[in-house]
Amino acid sequence: MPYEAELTRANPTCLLFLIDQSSSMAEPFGGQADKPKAQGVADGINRLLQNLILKCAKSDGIRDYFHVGVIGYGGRVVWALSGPLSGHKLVPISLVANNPLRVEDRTRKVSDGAGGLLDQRFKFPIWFESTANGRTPMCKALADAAQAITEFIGKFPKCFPPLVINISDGKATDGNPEMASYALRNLASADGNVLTFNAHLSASAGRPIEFPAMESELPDAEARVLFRMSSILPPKLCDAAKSEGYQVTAQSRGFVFNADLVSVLRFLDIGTRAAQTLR
Amino acid sequence: MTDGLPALTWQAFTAPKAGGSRAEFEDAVAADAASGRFAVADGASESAFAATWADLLVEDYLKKPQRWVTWLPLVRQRWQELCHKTELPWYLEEKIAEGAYAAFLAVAFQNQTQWQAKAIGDCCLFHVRDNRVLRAFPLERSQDFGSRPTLLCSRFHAEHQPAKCLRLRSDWREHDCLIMATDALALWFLLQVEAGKMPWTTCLRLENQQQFVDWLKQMRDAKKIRNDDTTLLVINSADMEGQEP
Repeated sequence: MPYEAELTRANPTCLLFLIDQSSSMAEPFGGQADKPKAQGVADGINRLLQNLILKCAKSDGIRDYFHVGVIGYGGRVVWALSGPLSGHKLVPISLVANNPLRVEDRTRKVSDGAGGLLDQRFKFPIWFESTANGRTPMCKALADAAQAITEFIGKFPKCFPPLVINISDGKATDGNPEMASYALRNLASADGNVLTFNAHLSASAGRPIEFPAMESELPDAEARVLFRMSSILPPKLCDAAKSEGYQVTAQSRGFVFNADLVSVLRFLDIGTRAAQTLR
Repeated sequence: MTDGLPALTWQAFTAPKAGGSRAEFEDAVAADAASGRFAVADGASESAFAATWADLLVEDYLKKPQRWVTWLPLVRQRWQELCHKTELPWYLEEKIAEGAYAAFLAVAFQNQTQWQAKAIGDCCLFHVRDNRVLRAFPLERSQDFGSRPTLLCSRFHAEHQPAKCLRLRSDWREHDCLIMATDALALWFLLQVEAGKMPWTTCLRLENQQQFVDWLKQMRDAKKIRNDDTTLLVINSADMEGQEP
């Protein structure tokens, strides 16, 4: 059965995020005028990296169950981790853990167990900062991703298949991304084909369409292109989505259309869940 | 031996997950026939300092017989002191704030004929008498095993529902046997019982650590026992020694 490989330090998997950094990402999410899309996505990626690191953190250090990378595409296509990891491609999660751009002190509200709320301080490391300019060279980003993933599979041929999550608010401006996405999804380890998931961000306040199973559920050609670029959810992920209350079937794809901030954060959480069941 | 307790013998076997090292082993076991106290714990792999927490739980349980509500805050305090020996990177500070988690199972003999057990999580106890399992505790069926057992946290979190400590009291007769095991082995044990087999005979036949490790490797290779840190503690009446199980 594919998508069953155990994550170990000798056999890690990789997570690669492709982030649209075109000028329209400076605009707010639909219905959330205070939050530019680029900022919401950057916060989401930083929080996800933090959670992954905490899953791999043991008292003697970080166990490298994952290699991670971020490609930003806008005015340029760049490997987008900042600070000491600037320009690095896929890096072991221990390097990410120990090399944030900065660590911010933030505060969150937690229940005091007696009906009230307490302020709790916590560390929030930053690796990836928001930026928004230029057009949407998604095809080039997908091609760069394929190159890095090919190298990764060469090193770890039995790995849990690499996961690529593409987050964008618009159409590719450098061609039809379906071919580049197909080439990426055609790459495979002994445990199955590369998974490519897509999140389309909304500037309107319409209802998100999450994990659709049929093209006919989608409103336009742009959405259908992204649907075809998205892998069918492997069974474990399908179960994870079900347990979170999503209506999914065995044909549901790793795709959310017209996502608001909450929807894209939930999508990131569920999308990376299959790779997070460490024992 | 303390007056008033039965004469007991015990054997404990441990093995790290295949591919993991002894240093990464996160189960813990402690036993003292003289005081009639026995404990096993299984540190959760997603926690940091889980081995420290599991070790503290079992060792402290043997040392300081006292009420659970008095004991738990003290052992939690001790865990924090052990973790904070040096300056730590941001992720370990966060992990310590989250706390470490462990399943915990303890047995204490009260007198010649009575013992009680406490359990949080999926470490299991099997009371064997007259060649059958009299009682499985706290999980009774193989389907009771889930991937998210309730565990004992090394931090008090006001916002979390506290993990419920389950208790069992039972009697003890000569020739009885108690088998305590962490989850992977306990699941195998229950599956065997449900298939009409007698897995305790295997547990009682093991004579040393090497036999245990060899047997466990066979079972893991045959996919009969999940690859996980594994601990087995077998408690017998002292006069069981030398008898065929």
